[in-house]
Amino acid sequence: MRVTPGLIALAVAGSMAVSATQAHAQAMSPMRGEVKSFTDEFVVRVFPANPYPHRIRVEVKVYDETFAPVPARVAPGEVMLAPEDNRGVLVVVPFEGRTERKVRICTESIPFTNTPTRLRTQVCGRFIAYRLG
Amino acid sequence: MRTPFAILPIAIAALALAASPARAVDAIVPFTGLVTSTCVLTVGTPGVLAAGAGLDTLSSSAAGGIPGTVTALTTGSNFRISTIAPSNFSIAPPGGGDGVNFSASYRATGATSIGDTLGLNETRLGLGVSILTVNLAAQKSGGAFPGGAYAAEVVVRCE
Repeated sequence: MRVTPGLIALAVAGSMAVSATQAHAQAMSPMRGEVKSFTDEFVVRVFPANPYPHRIRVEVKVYDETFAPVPARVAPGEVMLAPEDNRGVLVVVPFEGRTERKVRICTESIPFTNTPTRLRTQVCGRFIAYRLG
Repeated sequence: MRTPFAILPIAIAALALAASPARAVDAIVPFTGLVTSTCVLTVGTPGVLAAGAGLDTLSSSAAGGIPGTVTALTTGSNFRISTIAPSNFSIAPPGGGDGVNFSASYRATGATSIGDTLGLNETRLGLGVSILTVNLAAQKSGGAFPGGAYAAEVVVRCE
């Protein structure tokens, strides 16, 4: 069978048509913060929010200034958000020997397996923490 | 010269007015509100890639392709938007993802107005609603894309 540009466009369009049925959105607050801690870790509570009338699944991830993953503890790491609801997520970040640490805490959309999206959204807050003492 | 008796009717009239219904008393009920500074991203339509005439490019800006759209709502003026191109296809036929370079770009209208911008370049978002148009292109260095279904994900980042 001869492959034409039109055939490939059709195949690509077909694979993406299912994703047009559901929009994914999310928000997070706060998106800026300064933390002081006396211990080897600092804690930030963020609130991923779903402002839309359908449920969405999001995950919260922690990155450093260069968007390299940070070994933080996130509880819960994945949350299903009810329509127009938000939920607190606790993020515990180690200083790893530093006296100051800047991190990005990001809420990312997770496409439902039966409705894959081709645009993933990522809302990131910037936080700076100081180790005291 | 007026006598005290001349003033009396005026005084009686003033007292009569004062005896009318009690004066209203205003009270203030304070309301406070707080809108946190945040960014909301909503995917409008996902994009569609179409093959170029040489079959070695797949692009949403090619004939038959459709760019993706995202709405960004901000309640603060210190947020930036960028897009991150994928490093590979999430769905591709055998050999379809070999030797492929991806590039993403975006432009914005509404609260933010900017023309075509390379994906990793950050743009400060205006306060309010911005409509982002996101394009993706995939260039295959080793010849034509084999026939089949392709899919790739672009990350739209607000921070």
